[in-house]
Amino acid sequence: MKTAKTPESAEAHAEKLQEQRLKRHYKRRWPIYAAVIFTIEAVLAIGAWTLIYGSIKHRPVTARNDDVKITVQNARITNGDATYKPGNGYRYVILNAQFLNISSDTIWLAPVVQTYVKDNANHQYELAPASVIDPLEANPLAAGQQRGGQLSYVVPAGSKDLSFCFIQNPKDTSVCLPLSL
Amino acid sequence: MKLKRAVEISLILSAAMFIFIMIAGLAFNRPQDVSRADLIAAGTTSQAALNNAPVRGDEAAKAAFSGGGQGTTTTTDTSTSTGASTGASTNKPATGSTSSGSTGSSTGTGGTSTGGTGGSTGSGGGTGGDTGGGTTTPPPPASTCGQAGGTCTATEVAGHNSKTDCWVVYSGSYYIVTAFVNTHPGGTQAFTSQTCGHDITAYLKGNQAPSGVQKHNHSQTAYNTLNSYKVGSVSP
Repeated sequence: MKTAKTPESAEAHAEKLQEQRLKRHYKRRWPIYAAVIFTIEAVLAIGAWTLIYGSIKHRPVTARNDDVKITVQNARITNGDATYKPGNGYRYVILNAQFLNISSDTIWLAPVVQTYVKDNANHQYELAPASVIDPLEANPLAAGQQRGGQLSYVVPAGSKDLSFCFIQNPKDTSVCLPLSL
Repeated sequence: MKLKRAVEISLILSAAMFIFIMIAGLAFNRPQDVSRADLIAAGTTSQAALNNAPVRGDEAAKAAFSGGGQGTTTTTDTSTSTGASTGASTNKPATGSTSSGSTGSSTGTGGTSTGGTGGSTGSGGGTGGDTGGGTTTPPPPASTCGQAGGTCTATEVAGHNSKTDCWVVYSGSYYIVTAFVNTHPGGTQAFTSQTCGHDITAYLKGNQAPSGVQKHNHSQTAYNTLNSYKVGSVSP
């Protein structure tokens, strides 16, 4: 004996059909979705690895004496350009440094006499001109003032364990920060 | 519908992962204080910098296991902080520092400061050095020429007039430009006895030129680059 379908059951039937259609749709296309999701995850994973590894390896480093807090934001090695070339067998080390005067007096920043880069054999390399966008300005630094800029040095290619050193005045001892290149 | 839900969850997880990566990247991009051991390894000799540097957990543990040797050396270094101490000396025990103190006082370079560590032996050397040079006339003020922010006379600058030691004056300040001699984009002929040791303001502005060089102006980039090489002012 057949029973007449109520309006509710017809609606439920339609929903069921729709659901089945969607299921079939997703079943047919699941490899596409899987591929898209896998690609997104892979890109994210590679990006994460690069970003986090890069951040750790080239993490800004800081140190301070009683007067100045020195931060090396980043450092890189270049071969120079058409304007400035380091010479055969040499490379430029270009670093981005910030100096914060934490004393209560004005101090002078003069990178040409206060900074150098040294290697693991204690060879010192002095400031050398290179094409940098924002060279560090040599001028007095008032108490609490911060100044940043780029500094460039010429080092032999293949130099190991380079450090950036700052000597505030000739009587001072040096503050050296390891450079991750 | 389960598959659709799975897709949605995956996308949400991806977005969450992306946000996490961004936050982690920002966190790692903050400057990190270099530890004391890394500063020493990099060649730092400033005791103030070493005192201000954090001590890593493994360094503290090593110091504890070695019977507090590091603490002793810190005290020794503070007393010799006039510039004579080196990275190597930080590892010497207290007994070793006594002998090195007597050596330092005999040379006279660190006589006053080594008295603290050297005891009676060290102070003997320090006294000798002080009395030898004692006079009633006050010593002339030390020249600050060549120091950061120091003042030079024109005569002092004029003494640095070779390609291997080239100082110049520009707009009342002096610059050490020896590093430019071989890399000057305008040619090395710009650095002669006419320029090194002299005021080059007119040359830089293109009003004059040294012999053998054409008059030319310099770009703002050139002035910016030169500014890193400023050392101090020139007294009139």
